[in-house]
Amino acid sequence: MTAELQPTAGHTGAAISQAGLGPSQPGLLRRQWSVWRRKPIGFGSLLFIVFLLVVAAAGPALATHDPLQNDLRAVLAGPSADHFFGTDSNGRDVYSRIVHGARLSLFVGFASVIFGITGAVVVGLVSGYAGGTVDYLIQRVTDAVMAIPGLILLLALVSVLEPSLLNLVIALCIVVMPGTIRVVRAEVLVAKEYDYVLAAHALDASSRRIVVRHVLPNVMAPILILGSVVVGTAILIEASLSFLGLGVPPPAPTWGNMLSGPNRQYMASAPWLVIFPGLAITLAVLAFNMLGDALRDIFDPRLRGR
Amino acid sequence: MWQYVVRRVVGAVFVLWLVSVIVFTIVRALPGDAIIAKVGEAGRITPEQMEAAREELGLDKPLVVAYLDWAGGLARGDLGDSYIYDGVSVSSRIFDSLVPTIQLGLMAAFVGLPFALGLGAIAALRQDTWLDYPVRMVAVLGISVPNFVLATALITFLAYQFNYAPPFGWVPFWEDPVTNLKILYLPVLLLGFTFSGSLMRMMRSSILEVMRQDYVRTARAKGLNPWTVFRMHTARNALISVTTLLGFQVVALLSGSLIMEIIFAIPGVGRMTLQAINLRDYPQIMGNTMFFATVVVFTNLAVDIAYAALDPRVKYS
Repeated sequence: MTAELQPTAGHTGAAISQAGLGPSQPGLLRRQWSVWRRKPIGFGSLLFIVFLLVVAAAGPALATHDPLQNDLRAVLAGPSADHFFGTDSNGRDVYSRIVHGARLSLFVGFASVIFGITGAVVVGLVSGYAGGTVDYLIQRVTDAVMAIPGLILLLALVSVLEPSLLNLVIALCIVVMPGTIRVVRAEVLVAKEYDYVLAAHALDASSRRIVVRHVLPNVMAPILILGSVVVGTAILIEASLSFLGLGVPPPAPTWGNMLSGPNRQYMASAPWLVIFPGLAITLAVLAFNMLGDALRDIFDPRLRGR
Repeated sequence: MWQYVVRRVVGAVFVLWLVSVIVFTIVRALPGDAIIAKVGEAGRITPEQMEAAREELGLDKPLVVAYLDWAGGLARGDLGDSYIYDGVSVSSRIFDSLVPTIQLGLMAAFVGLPFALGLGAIAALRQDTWLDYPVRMVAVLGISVPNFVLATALITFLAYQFNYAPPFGWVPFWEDPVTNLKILYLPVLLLGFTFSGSLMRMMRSSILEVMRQDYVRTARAKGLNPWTVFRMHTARNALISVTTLLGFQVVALLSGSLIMEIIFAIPGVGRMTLQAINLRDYPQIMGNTMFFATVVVFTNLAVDIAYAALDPRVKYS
């Protein structure tokens, strides 16, 4: 098993430096380009994500209206030069609400992934490297958290926590951690057996040094791949939660709550109420999933096209 | 083998015990007064119900005692009483809303499984052709389009084009099968579609994996016709790894069902859970969460055991 998996790490390591994550060398941009050129969909997704980040960062500057401002003279107006994506049943500008919603969705997505994955990497490293009882207990706890369907666990968590952005991120972290812990642990179990790790042991290097210098780099590629997919998942779950009315409370514009509430009854006559927020959620989730696929192909050429 | 089964069962019970600790901790992370305030926030609660809530949650008892009371009840199959619905037990409410959820889930699986496995296999057998690309696209969409977005878009479209209106009310299958299916066909198709995305990808990639194995090449080389090779060697072995995904698929069905139940007003366990959350009916929330976790844990257990029994390569260690 180990012998069979070892070449993978060779590939992965090579791919990492190929992808420009290794020590920086001249021609970095050119080498990046030569990798991404062969992944048009992945590259497109990356560009779209950058675009979303710009929209989220520029937020208010891009909005044409106050996203909370009711305008009773323009209730349920169709898309026009004044209201690019039309208006909702309160006469609020859909385009401006989506632009503001992007900031929240991306913030929630990235924050929960950064905190969740950092925590998961630490726990996964400890679990895989320590082994024994510690490992067994950590694994059973992750089993237990994973046994509760993510959405149900989140619902239970938000029923107790005060509704706020911070609590939403904390709850999402708890939901995304177990899967990542498992992946990290599996990688650690493989990396632990490499000759250079054994050599480091023989040289009496401290556990901390071995884990940080020799094991962790092996785990980086799968984390990057998983990270991309998990940002998409977090955005999707946040949207589902706001759709159910349990996310960041209205009137704050979120992509999810634009599809629920009083707007629902007007959708058949005002389809822009569905189309634009629906597209925003779908394209964002799709882009992160496709980027994850591309990263997996780049880091592990054996899986190319699977 | 038996030793393996026993060890897995013990492991599953241990995990469920941990789930119970987690669920209890989530709800009791707040101080007692804060919990009661939360219950009050839901409104429409009489002082007697408030008192019942205090008692049911064991707020007057030390944490450990309250946990032991609750967990002891769990072990006996007693999940406690709802304090919103007078004198109705948590488990009877779960039991009453079980049928729609099971029907929806089974029908969605029945629609989604052949769709996913069939298309996944076709895509793999015709890798990188005009048959492969659309299937991969459909699979990625199945994963990426949130089910509530898809449902909302579809309802809007049907309402606009065909004057479709989402159903009101619920009719059990045995009372009026036609009306029942009229209510369910749309949620079943939607849930089946979103459920099939990851399964389709898994089927495709594991068939591609198996197709490159020596035994498949040998079978081809000795002159078996391609269909027999596919049926006897490729598909069988590919399905083994697809089976491991089944546990995740049950989770997907349960959460997907929750969304569908809410959009289509189906009185299932998912909708009841959301209702309990909006009413801060904590015993019900705890009971439902335990119920969902139990379903998932036992599905995984069954999959693992079936896996070990079916695949002689699996070691029982």
